[in-house]
Amino acid sequence: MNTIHAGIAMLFTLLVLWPLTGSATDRKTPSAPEEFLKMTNPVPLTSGTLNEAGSIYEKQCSKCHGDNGAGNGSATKDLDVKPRNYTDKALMEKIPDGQLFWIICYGSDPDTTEMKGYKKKLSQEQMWSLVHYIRSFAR
Amino acid sequence: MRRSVLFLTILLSILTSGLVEFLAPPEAEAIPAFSRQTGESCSTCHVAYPKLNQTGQNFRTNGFRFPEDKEWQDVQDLKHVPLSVEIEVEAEYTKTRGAGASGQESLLKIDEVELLAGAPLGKEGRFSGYGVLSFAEGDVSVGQAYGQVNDLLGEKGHGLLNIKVGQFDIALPFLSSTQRVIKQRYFAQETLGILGARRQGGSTESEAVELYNTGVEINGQLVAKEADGITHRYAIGLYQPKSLVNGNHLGFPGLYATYSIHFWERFTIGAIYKRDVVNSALNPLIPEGKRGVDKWGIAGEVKLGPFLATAGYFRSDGLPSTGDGALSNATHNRALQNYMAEVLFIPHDIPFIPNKKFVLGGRFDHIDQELAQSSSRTTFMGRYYILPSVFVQAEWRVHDGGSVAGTSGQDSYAARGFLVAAF
Repeated sequence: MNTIHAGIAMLFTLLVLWPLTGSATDRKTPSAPEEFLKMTNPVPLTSGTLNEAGSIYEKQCSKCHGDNGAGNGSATKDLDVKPRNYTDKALMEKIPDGQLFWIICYGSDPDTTEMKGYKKKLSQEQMWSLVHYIRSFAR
Repeated sequence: MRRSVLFLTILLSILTSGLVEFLAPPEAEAIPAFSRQTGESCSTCHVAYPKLNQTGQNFRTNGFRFPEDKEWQDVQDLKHVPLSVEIEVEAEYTKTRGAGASGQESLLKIDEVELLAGAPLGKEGRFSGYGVLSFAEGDVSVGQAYGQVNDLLGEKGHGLLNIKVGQFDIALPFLSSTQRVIKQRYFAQETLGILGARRQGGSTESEAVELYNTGVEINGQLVAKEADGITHRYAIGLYQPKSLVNGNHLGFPGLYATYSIHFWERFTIGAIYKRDVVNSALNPLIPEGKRGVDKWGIAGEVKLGPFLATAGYFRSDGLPSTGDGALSNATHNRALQNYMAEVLFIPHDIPFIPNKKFVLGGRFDHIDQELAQSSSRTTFMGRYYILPSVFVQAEWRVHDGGSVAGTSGQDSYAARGFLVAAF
């Protein structure tokens, strides 16, 4: 009998807690500070830049963002919020370079995504090169 | 008395967690071996440690490889050595009553120290190894220890068909003894012997060392390319029954097969069949005369928001009578069946709670045997993550004893507190 009471109490608690939790399916990408949004990519776009960034992308990003940038990498199977589709030209035109750089640098929403910041792993130049590479998927 | 022990347990957990938080490094995102190797966080592969999500199941079947990596030799420095240590401190309180001696006991112990290693070897990732060395209750034992040759068929890095040899968990890919978030063992595991490692000695309520069969398995997976596609996982294998007492183990191999599918991003169903061969007249799980006994089960899992619900039905046939063919009342002639249901609540985002990472869960586990009084276990648990790889966990276990062979006949209440840290 105690077991039944405990079970009912637990179910009740869970039902009360559920509405308090954020919906995992809402995309809550934080917006970069104004000074970042105004930035333009300081790294020139060359084939060398794209090659170097492609190699970094393959090693650090493709598991989630996919080989072709569609956001369907093998590590996204259980993510309720999938990575952005970089091949979507209309979407990518709305996102400033500075926002892409800032997310690579500091990461995205930790509650709903696995996107962590790469500030300690990559140089500023490498991160700006990645911005070029990411944009190349929609060209 | 019971309350004071519980209070002490809780107090000790809080004090220990505070100490660990004070002493632990501030950035612990990439402590365990796989996280260090891949650069991914624990939650990429685990719903809640040690339970694997779909990404984790793919990663494991695939010989610890993400297909996008293309090259897997990445031991650049000491930080990337594929080695982890897990320490588990446990506080126990158990009160038994009913038939047999009633009483209560409590203790605090370092339950287990485990050394884990696992990685794909070489740039081609054709071979992967995994091993666990466990130090528990004064003994050293080898847990899972196996090697796998990857990609016998299909594209490199996709694990379409692999062969695995060694000691490992024979169970469903999404439901197994090694993936228990609620640490209480499953009846299907320790009584039916169908869902992973068996208990080795100790009472049914103790956290005794688990043993693994040695086997050869052909496994693989066909992973859906699209998010809403269907992923198939399959395995078939032979194993050496460990309970055979008079030699020639390989003369009487056990056989098993598992198959599961994951679809619509939230549903998983699977089936397992096992032909077990062991020899004892006293236990239905250890049939005499080295004859086979059929065991099978089906289970399903659904992920709904922050809830993960699992249900399963498992069965072990009784042995045919050795006499004139009539079913006898002997314990080992009677079939066993088990029903279990488990719910985990894993919120993503809770206001006002530091770190915002915890898990609540409950499980009901019931076992029947022909001509015997059934037995059930109800368990509730709560876990709080101090760091991504350090947590405290409490469990409240209620066991309704019956007369099913292989389970405790006494009713009991038990509280368990765990502090688990992986480095």
